[in-house]
Amino acid sequence: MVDPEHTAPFPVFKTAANPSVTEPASTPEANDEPLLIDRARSGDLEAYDELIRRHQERIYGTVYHMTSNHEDANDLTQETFIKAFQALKSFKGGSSFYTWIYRIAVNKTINFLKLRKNRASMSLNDLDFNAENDPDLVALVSDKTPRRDAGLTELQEKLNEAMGKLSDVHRLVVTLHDVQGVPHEEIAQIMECNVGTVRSRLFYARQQLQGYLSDYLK
Amino acid sequence: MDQNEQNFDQLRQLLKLKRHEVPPPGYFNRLPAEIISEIRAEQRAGRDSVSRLATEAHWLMRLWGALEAKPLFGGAFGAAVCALILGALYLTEKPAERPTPMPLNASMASPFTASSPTTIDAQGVGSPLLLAATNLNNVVGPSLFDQAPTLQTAPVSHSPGN
Repeated sequence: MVDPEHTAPFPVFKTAANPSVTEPASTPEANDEPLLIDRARSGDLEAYDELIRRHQERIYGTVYHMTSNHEDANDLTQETFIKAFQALKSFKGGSSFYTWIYRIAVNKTINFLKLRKNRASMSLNDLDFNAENDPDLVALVSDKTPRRDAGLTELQEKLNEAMGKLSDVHRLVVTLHDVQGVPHEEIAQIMECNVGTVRSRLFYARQQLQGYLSDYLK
Repeated sequence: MDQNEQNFDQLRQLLKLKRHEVPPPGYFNRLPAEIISEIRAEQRAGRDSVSRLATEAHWLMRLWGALEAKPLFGGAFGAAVCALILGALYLTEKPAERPTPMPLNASMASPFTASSPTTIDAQGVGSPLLLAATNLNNVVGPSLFDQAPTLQTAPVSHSPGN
């Protein structure tokens, strides 16, 4: 089943190292991935370095949007890749490597958030230069926003605060789908639940966010 | 679903802002190297502990080598260890020797059993049924009360003149 929302362009993480979020298996880079995995499994750290380069942005992005803290995201990303290297022998290829490593990252992050519960602190990354030129964001900040004086930085803080009010699983669904652009089916694989659950969680999370951010939405 | 998507259009536009949050410049160039060096450090630490074990416990490494070289020997060793554990478990679960119960005679055993004819055994020594069921030999014997010194009262004389 094709995700209708996924036909929309998602510029997120479409970098040279990571040209496609939605169809990693179809890229030329992804074709040699099994070979890289085999080499890494036998202890070749150069091969593993290449695997890290290919997936680091998505993994870091997911963890960062879940924690809203760069230092925590950095630690968890490193731990994820180290754990994945140690567990590489158990990777049988039943799912794609990136789904598998996503699952490690998500489990680590949710465990971390459970422990951090009462000492959450934001350490937000800066916005890149493109943010000011993004037509959607420009529209939100200027004409359409009731709070016309709200700048992008304020919006960023409010958005992260609102995300922080969601439960971990709801924040995860929003992060993976609306921020990272991962299709429902793959989120279901990552979260080990069915697609219906993903959709209902996404709907609920969006409703919650809309309520929290009503001042900043039309 | 389409209506839901339309309802959330603005929210999704706002969420796009998150995509513009980027880590410090050069972060993704440094991260792989940091992870690889961390993995190397862990591997070194693992090798160090193995080599330390090898230098400090020769016998253990020789045993390990022998177990690896001869699977049959390994299996026998494993079976022996299992047998040892099972034996230890059996011994720990075996009830300890019961303490010798206090010998009682018929007259002192119990106010309820002493008068009952069913508690008199063949030798004519009374013992409670419960005790008789556990160990008959131990209950036959003189009562402690028989050995106790008899407390006798001495008449006290009292003369009012003193």
